Amino acid sequence: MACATPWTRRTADVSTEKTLLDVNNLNVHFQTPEGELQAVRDVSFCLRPGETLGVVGESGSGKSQTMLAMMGLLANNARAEGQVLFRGENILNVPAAQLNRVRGPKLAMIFQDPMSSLNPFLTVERQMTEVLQIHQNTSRGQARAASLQMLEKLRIADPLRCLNSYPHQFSGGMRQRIMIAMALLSQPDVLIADEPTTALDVTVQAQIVALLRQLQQDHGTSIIMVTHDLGLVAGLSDQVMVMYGGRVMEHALADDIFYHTRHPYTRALLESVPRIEQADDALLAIPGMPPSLRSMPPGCPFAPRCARADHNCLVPAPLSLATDGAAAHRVACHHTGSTA
Amino acid sequence: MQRFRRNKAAVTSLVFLILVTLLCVIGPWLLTHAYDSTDWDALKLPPSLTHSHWWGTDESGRDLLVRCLVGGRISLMVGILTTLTSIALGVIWGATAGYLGGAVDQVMMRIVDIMYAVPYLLIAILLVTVLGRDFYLVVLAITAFSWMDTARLVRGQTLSLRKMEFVEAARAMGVSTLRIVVEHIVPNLMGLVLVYATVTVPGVILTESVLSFLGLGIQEPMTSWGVLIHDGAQMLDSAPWLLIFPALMLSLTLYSFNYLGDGLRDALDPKDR
Amino acid sequence: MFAYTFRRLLSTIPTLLVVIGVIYILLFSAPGGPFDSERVVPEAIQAQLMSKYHLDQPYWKQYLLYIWQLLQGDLGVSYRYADWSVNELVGSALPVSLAIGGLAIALSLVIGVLLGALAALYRNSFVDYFVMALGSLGSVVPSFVLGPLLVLAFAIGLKWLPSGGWDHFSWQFMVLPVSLLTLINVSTLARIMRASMVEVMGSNYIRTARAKGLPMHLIVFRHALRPSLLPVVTIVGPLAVSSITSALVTESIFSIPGLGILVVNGAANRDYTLVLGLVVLITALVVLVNLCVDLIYAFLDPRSRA
Repeated sequence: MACATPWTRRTADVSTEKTLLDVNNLNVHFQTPEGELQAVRDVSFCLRPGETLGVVGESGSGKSQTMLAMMGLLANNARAEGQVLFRGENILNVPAAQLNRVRGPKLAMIFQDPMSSLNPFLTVERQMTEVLQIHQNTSRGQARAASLQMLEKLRIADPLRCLNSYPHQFSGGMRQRIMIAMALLSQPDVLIADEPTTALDVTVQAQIVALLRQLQQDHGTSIIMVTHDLGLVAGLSDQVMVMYGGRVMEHALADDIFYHTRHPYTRALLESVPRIEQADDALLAIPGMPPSLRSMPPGCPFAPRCARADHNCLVPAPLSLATDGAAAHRVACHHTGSTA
Repeated sequence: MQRFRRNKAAVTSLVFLILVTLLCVIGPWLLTHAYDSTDWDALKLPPSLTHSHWWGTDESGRDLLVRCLVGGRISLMVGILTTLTSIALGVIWGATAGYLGGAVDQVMMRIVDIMYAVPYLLIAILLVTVLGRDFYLVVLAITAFSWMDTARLVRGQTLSLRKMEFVEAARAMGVSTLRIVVEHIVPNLMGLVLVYATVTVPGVILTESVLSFLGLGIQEPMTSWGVLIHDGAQMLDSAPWLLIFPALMLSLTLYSFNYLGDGLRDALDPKDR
Repeated sequence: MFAYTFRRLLSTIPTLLVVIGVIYILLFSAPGGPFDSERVVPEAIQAQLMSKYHLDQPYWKQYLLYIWQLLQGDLGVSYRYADWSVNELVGSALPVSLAIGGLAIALSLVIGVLLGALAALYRNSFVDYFVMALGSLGSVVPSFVLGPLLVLAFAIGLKWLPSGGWDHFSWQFMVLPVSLLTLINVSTLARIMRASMVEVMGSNYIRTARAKGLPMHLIVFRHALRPSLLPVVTIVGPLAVSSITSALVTESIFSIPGLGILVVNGAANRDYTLVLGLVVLITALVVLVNLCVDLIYAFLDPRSRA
């Protein structure tokens, strides 16, 4: 099981921590007119209380679909297989009534575009209080008070007016804060943030990230941060999982990903981030394009663009623990060697 | 062209329409009965292939098949003529409004909005009341309310075309406004207008049919599908075929025009792929 | 909200005035029109026309006086029947049309929305295919074909209902006309409701609602219903206009003594002033309905109350 190994940075006694999320061999298939496509292949990871997992990948890497599968929010033509255990109980492909006990109150998710993700026809109050009213049976008044408190905690000015307003009356950053407030109201154990800052300005991005860190410290919420931005992940995450072409390429503690990179793709990603200290103006981009789901190369999905690819790569490498030194570092590559 | 041919429904519709048009135009000359000749020996005959009246006769012994075809001539003629005039009006109105822009555009479009607000059938009835039921007046009355969609569409297209370079170039060379509109703007709209024309025709035929059904459209001795349906509805208990055949012809024709229009639109619209 | 209402009201007035003006000009200046001095009109009617329409005054005064008269609720007098004023004729016909039309609209809204919602929520089920088929039927078969077909089936074939006529609002005479009108409207409404709801249910904010673990009935009624209804509300305006056509046809087919028959017979009789009065009345009603639709839309959609 993925959780047998210590993923967390913290030195506390790992074995007594109860695993919150245990995902094993998650696969997602889509039925399309062109046939069946696979968007997610064999993804496994686990999450403990207070931990942050950063899931990094380009568009089309399958990272969002993984999260949607976990939450039971896949499209009608999609099918998920595998196991998603929340506190030991499987929540994948279970009836809605059962899923809704976990989804929302214990396992919350916020999305990329806060404008389209909030209902424009309902007031902020209505959208926030209903979470508590449904899941915790609180009265309207109590739910309202709790919502006000949460908005204040997220440093939203004039929370009372905010409650009575409609989403379209706010800026993008404000709306994302409202989404976060709404998600955190019932004090979930895990918050999944799917590209929460992609649609926002850089300055607002930093604020949101700081906010999330603060909230994590205050409530001990575990966070799964899905993004394509490595920088975002660096400061916030305990463990980092890099995905490409629907598979996990590398999965390790944050420091190891950055300083002891094993997978060629991860390395290429790190090198392509522009740095101010760099003397030359050339921006290193990874040559080629991400694979389309319809024409997946056999074997390793990154092979067509990889400098180190050879005939071995026609068979995908299994995700296995690197054997040299690192405590917990899984790589899916035939050509790993430590290249710090 | 390719795309259009792939759309089987549209192609079938086109074939059907051509067939119907040919039948309506040539058919009556080939058949033995005239549309207004009464056959006293064959009153209210049900349809059958055994006698010469394949589709039966009405209460005056007139052959239904011939009457349907002749009625088809009138219905189709009204349809095409009205469409031509309303498209022409719409194109001129829309192109002018779009090209001149500003206050002129605002006023012209406001008028279009007001026209939309008016229940057109009522006005058509009013016009028919005042001016009479002459064939060309019916065309006029229906035209008066069918040009707005085209006008709006053309105006939109003109607005975007106006900003394009070749129009700027023409203007810089001092070409007069009218020439620019006629020579540059209008040809670029033809494709879209064709699609709209195909969609307008069924609406117009329907309006004429409704008017005729209410007894306010085409007058005797001429007949149209609407008139035939009106007559057929009176004889429902004794001769239901008198309703069914013209109704079938009308419905199938309208249906075909709709499919044709859809097919053309899909084929010509670059954005749809 | 109140400011929006006021603004909308203001903008309808010029529309009405222009429409009435145009109709008026048409009637009074068209050659061979009713008030052409060459027309020979019976004495009694001539006198009435003179006084009612102020034909001895200059045109612009006629128009203004006519508007003034309209504002007082007076729709004029009949051109053919000296004893009848338009108001009286309308008075006996309007309740009939309202009864049938009102019932039909209410039924078609309820049934249409229900069918459309069910089709959207249970896609590719029997309900869904039924609604799609109904939609196609409504757009292919015109009302004046469907009507006689209904009569053929139910009145002549099965003999369950009378094929036409009217007897003081008794229900047998109302069933077929109301059914026809409802059938025509339901096909459009259901199709629009279905498309709208499918789109809403696929939207991001419904995804958020599901992510919050809300039960399905709450998602449908609180989150999805209002946005889905918007296109339906929008279509009510044009639907009201086309209902006029449907009403004219329906009343003709079933010989219902409503406003529709009044218009048709008035036109057939060349009763100019009657038709003028009726057209003005119905146009005013349509404008009113459109105004109400806009207000309901603004009420439902907070974003449009800019």
